[in-house]
Amino acid sequence: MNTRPDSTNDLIRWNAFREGSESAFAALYSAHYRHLMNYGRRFGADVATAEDAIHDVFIDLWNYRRTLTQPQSVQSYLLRSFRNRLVNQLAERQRRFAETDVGELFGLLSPEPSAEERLVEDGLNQEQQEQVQAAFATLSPRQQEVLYLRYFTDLGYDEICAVMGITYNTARTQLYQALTALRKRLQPNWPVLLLLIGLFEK
Amino acid sequence: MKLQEHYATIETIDLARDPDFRAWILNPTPERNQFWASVKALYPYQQATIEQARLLVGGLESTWHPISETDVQASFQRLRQKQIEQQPEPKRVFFRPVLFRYAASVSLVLLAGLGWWFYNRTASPIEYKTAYGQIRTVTLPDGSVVTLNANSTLQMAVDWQTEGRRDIRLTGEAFFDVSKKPLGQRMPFVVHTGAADVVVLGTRFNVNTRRTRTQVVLQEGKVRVNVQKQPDVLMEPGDLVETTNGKSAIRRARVDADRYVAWRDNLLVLDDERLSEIVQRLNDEYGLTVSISNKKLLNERFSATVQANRPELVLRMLSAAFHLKITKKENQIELSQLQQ
Repeated sequence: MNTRPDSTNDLIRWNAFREGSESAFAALYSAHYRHLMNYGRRFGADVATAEDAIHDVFIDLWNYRRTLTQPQSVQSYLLRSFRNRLVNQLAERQRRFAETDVGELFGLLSPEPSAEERLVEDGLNQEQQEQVQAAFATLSPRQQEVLYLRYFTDLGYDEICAVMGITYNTARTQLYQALTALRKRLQPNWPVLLLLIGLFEK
Repeated sequence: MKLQEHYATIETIDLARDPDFRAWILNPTPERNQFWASVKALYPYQQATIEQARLLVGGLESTWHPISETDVQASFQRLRQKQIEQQPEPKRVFFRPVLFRYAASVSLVLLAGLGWWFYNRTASPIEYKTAYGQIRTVTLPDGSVVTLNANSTLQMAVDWQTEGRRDIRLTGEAFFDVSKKPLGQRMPFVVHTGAADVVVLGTRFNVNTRRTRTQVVLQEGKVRVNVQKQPDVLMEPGDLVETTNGKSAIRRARVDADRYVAWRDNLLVLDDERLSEIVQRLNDEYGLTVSISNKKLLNERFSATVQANRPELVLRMLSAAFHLKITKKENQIELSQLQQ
């Protein structure tokens, strides 16, 4: 199971790093690297491209630490800076092929999983796993991204909007639609339960 | 763990985000199974929600790319490398005494106002750093020249003028050539290492703070070493004074000062040093982890002088002198006895 960065620790480290603490800087990096890397790969970025964007973000943080303020959420701030950079880089590359909105590249399953990567213990059998993946595939990129951020981070809707550059209502609607779509696809198979859902769902 | 009631009306996504719920899906124990069975029994209409949340957690978690701690640390090291490469040389205004004296005094007046403004904006310490295997010479604002040995950090406060003293903080090793009368006035120059303070008035000396000790070797001039809870030590050229952090004992010896500052000439000088000390120096100055399997050898002594950027030559000389085999595993270098 992946661990979420702790927001209180984040703020303590953030403030220490702004005063020049290198160990706090290293701790911030360690706490957020996995999340930024995972997020980046879902835009179709390879490991090297994603790492370059992460490095750019942290090099700027260090160079401008004296002028930084304290963000509401460190994780939201990092995800936003990282997303902007990555999207710019990918857009640059994409321009040669077509006019694509890079936000539309997001996929819960990153497009190029390397062969040696072992997926984590997830408690599902093969059939269920395929059922869920098929359900994810029916969602729009935006819906997948909101779902991803809502599940893998502790960000509120306002922070998710800030990361993705969308409005509060859009974020809520996207997630609501995603969940409704998923619910239709992820119906458990036995009839009794279907009856129960019919009885109790509003 | 929360009470069953907490889950009476919870929605799929919030259930999926619940740490206790995720722990059950990904890591079921008899205790957790029992708890969630009781939730289902109490609130049967939540069964569909629980099932959907279970699929959601399993499905989402399986898309996560796990990254090992080693990979995270390696990535951070690559970041540090980029930072070092991109670091611009800090630009310092520094006036040569005779040639530019008049020009300097004029510009100083012009810059005074601007300087005050800048000073108020950035009063945090200036830091100079060297990577493994890197040596760097820094000219301080008072004209003193500091040569930083590999893997060392030098910090200085920006506000020497107002403090009336030149404070320097050092970790690692550095050689100081201190200018006597900066800006026309005598101003104490103090190197802080944590365990000791070295107070100077114009001189050349070497400070080494590696391995929880502080070692000062004086080449020229005079310095006073203040060690906590000890009478001050006044040093003469050729003196070595050493103290270990947390201990109050001071070791004092007469040495060949040149050998302690040879690293400045890009030479790695081993002068009748124990193998244990050599292994330690390779680690301190080059980041090499060297182990010698035959512990009896650690007390043997060895002398050699090689170019500072060729530490591998030391290993080859050691292997020839003591009949050792060199094996390299990742960053670990092992010297083991050659089978006869």
